[in-house]
Amino acid sequence: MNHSVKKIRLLTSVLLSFLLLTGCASPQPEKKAAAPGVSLSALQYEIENIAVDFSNMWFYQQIEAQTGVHVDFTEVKDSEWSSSVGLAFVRGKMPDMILRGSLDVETYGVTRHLLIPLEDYIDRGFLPNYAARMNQAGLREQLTASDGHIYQLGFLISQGVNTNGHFFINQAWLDRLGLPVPETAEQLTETLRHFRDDDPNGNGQRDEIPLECTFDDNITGIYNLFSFFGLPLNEDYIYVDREGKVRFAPEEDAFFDALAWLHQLYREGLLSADFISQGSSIWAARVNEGNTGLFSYWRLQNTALSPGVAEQYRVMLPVHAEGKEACLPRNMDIIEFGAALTVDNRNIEASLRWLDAQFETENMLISQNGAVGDTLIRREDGRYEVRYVPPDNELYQSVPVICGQFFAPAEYYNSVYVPAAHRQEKAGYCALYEQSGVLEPVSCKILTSVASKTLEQSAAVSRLKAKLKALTDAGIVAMVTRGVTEEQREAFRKQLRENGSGDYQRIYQQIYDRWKEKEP
Amino acid sequence: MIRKSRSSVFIRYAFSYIAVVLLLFFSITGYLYVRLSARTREDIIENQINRLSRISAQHESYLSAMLNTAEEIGLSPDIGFFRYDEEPWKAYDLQLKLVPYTTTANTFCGQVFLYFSGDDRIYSSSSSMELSLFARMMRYESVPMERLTSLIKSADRLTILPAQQVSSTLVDSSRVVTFLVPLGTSPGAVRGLLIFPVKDSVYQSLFADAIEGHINTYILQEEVLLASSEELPVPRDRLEPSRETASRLFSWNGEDWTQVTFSGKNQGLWYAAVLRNAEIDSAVGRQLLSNLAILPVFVCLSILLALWMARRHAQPIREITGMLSGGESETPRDELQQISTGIRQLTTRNQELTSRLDRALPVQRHDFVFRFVKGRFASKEEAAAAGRAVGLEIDRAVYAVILSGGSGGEDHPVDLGAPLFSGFNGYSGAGVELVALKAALYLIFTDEPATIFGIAEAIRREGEAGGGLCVTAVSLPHGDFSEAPSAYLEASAAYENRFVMGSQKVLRYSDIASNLPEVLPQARRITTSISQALTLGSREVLDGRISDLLHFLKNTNMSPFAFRMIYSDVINSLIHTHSAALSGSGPVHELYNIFSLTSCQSIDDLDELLRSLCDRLLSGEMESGGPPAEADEISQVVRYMEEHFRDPEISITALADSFEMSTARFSVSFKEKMGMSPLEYLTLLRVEYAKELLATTGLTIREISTQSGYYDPGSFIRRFKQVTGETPLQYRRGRDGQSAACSLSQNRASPAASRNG
Repeated sequence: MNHSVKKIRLLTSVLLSFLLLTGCASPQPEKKAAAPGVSLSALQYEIENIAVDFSNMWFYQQIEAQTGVHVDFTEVKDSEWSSSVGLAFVRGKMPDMILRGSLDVETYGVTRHLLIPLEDYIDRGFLPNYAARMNQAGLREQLTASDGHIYQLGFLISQGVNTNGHFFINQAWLDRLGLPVPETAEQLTETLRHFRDDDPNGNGQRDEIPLECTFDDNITGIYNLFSFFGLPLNEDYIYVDREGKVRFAPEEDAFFDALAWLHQLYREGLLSADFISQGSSIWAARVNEGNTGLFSYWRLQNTALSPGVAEQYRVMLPVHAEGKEACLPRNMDIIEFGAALTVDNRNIEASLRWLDAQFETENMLISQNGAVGDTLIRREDGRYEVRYVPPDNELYQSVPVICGQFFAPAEYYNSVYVPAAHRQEKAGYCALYEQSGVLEPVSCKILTSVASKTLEQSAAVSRLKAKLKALTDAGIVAMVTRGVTEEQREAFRKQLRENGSGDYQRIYQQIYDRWKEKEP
Repeated sequence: MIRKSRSSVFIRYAFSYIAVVLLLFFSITGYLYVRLSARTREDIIENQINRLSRISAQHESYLSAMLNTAEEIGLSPDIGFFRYDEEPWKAYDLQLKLVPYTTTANTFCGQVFLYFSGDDRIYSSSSSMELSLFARMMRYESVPMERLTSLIKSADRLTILPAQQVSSTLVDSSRVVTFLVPLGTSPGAVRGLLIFPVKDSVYQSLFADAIEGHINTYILQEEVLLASSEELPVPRDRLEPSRETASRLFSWNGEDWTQVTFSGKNQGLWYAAVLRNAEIDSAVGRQLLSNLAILPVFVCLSILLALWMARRHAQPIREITGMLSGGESETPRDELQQISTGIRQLTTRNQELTSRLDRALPVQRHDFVFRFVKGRFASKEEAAAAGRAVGLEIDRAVYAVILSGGSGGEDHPVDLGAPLFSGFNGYSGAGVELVALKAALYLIFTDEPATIFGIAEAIRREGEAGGGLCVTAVSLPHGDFSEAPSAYLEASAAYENRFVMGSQKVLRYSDIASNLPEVLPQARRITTSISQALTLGSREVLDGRISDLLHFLKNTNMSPFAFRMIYSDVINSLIHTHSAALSGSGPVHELYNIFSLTSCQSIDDLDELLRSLCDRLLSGEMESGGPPAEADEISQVVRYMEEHFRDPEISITALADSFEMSTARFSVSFKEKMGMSPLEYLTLLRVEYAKELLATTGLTIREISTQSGYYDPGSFIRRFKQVTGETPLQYRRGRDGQSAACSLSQNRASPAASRNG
């Protein structure tokens, strides 16, 4: 009996093996290197002011030696990229691959069917290096087009940046005046008054600027100050609340509460009057004069700030108004376009092998930082570290840097790479803000950059945003400088609704709901 | 030496042609150099003016755009003066309103800054700042902050700050030309100015072709240099402004320069290019080189053509010179002189040859008559051509053979062209002497058969007029040239009947024709049987058949003429039947000679002749053939005669005996081989040698006679005249004044040449 069972099992195993070997019609990766002589064509993005010879670049010669695939590059400068891509898709013969830059996959993939869907190849192991990182980080949704296909390989250098603008307060002034770091809006207002009145710079003049900012961005702009009132105001004016509802910030009560507070600061001379019109370079010039008490910025090291000025400041958590919780806009890693294969490509397996070789950890770090032993070193703990950065973009002579393929989610990146000191500084601030719970739960980037939109949705939100931004910014200027009355508040809301704020909000709600349905 | 002389013709031709080619080359080159260098220089200046014109148009279009922008902003109802500290929100609106102008200005500058008169702020589409901060941030290389602030506050007309380095975050750090443009002077316009920092790269793009061509190009306002493509190679003060478009030459630092100036339309702007004259000359040279580069190719081709023509023209001269100089070892002369001399010599030789040919005509006619009678011509056309060559028109309706013999008078044929026959028309004829028969043979060609008998009668009368008896026999008239042997036999038969028919009249063959037609069929049957024996290759059978023929002939009552006719018919039949077997054994006619047939006086003689022929035929049938030994034997005889003709003892009989041949057969074979009888050939050798001696020596006629192989000077003189048409003495006189050496060499070559044909 046992003997018969063994025979049946053996027979069944053989049959199953045979079926597996012969019955599978789906693509299977070849383990061996491609036959020599495979030659591909590629449209390659190139930075505007750097001439790069990709065809004769050392890095791609190494990749060719590893994969047996030769690529003929057609380099296109940034200023000509869009038109060149458009032309490439209307010519008789498209290039086999499109590399870096940007590509409208909705148009060329979903609508015109000129790109090869890659999800089947990814799932069946044609891109082992890339697929492991993409699936591990749960970033697949970002790369999935509106029709459910994946037409592109992503480009991602994740540094775990969750906040654009951190607050920096003049620690030297606080120390000089014996003040604590403020934690509430009221405390901050009082601290700013001390900065204005108590000559913290000690020059005997009342030339201090208590609070310096620019206008409409989330790094140095006034938008960050709305977070004190629980409103994560960003450049798209929308956010997702804790209940998962998309909200249009300029119509929220917190928006007007913040404006009233800002008007107070403006009226008292605590807020720089130049916030309305100064750009980032003027802002930097003013801050670098050393007369500023508080500002928001990306980080302190290796920025437009002079080191002597930067060292006076320390990071500060956003304060909160009475009855409110601070809520800053949350940033997230956005996957850029890395590569796509056109339907004219007759060597898909070879193309994917050539691309995936660039995602191998050491190859990928070399492509970004130069050769190991030269500009890049491998530490004893197995992680890689940049030894030095050659001047004058010398790296581009041998490696593609940001024009190459790179896919490194934060967790993976930190496990293989030791970032530079200024990046570590930024990572520390991000970790602090994350731990302090001052960031919005869902990043607006989900709505604007991650969730896929139809072409109609994209066009509609772009059109509406232009009108709503003009109204909102004009309203902010007016209400900060001239104050907020109940009538103004209602008139402003009415004006926003008349210009499509409801539609704007509804479309993003649809986009978000659809994304939520597909989210793993 | 001769070779050197010949080369000179080619060299002279080559030098002449090449000289013409080079003369044309230098003339064309000189002409083109004068024309092209001036035009190229003008073109270079014109190109520079055009280039400066383009730069001016582009640059002033930038300037116009800036002026228009300033005018528009100054007159815009949406843009007005305000104080920032009083109405800061207006700064936000102003920035939005400046955006379109910034976009427009981006074609030539990155940013536009607005300043209101009396204010202390600067506005742009992205920022506003205090004027002091602006001045501090711009950091001009050669304009201090205070100076910049003062300029901005006080500018009431277009002011241009020359290109200089700016280190600022407001604009890209680079060399910048700054335009301060008032907002406008129109009534109601806002007072203030626009500041356009134009990057020097915009100017460098204007100068792109100048930079590529290494031409210094400058844009100036009055005396101020605004921008340049390169550092000035000459001091600024060497440039002279001009309101007219012009070029001027000047010297500096030991070099010559050309300044090309183009005057702008606005704001005192002018544009200049400075070129080194050496570079202009170099450009002119390059232009000339490119235009004239093809000429050397043409010259080379022309020289090759000239050499080819020289060679082609020299070649015939060489060949003519070579032919005319013919082994002479004289001092090299001019080829044309050589040709001239050679032509004179050739003319002389030609005259001599013509004379000799004329004198040799009787001999040639002699040969023609024999060949015709023997039937040696393959076709009528060949015979007619041979006749024309000896002055006979034989292409006539009929011909006949006349034999004439007698006991007295001249023993040479009557000249048929002589006035004796002037009474007859439409005939042509010639005669030869038949030594063996002591008779003369005449061939008469005529369109009228009656003429033949008239001429025969005339010959007879001529013979009798000489004082002796003259017998004349004539054949039947024949039309077919192949029947010539038969015609001879007919005449011969009639002649042999002279003893029967008497000598008082012309003997006609028709008068003696017997029962030949009756016996011919039987004879032909026997001929057929002989032919069959030959085909069988059996000598026994053949002998039996020949014996049958002889028996038949002997037992048949017929004349010797009939025998000969039958034999002639038999032999002709055999030769034609078995000619294929004889194709490899030399000419067929060597086997059969009508004269040998007529010389046969008995049936036994005929028997010998027939058996000899059958032997040859039989051996030809049995073997593949080969040259008959007789031919070699005749050659030996000819050589022997050429070596011993001076010997008076030499005789035809002795020669025949020495080669074990009968006299008749020897004579036939010799004539077949040489075209003349042994005696004729011997006479010819002796006469030619005598002519040589006559022309080159002072020997007497008697001495020459002895040395030429004649015992009797009379015989010598007679033979000499028979052959040459003149006596030895007449011949010698005719040779007076001619080169003895030339004659000697020519005469020495003659016997061999005539023998070989």
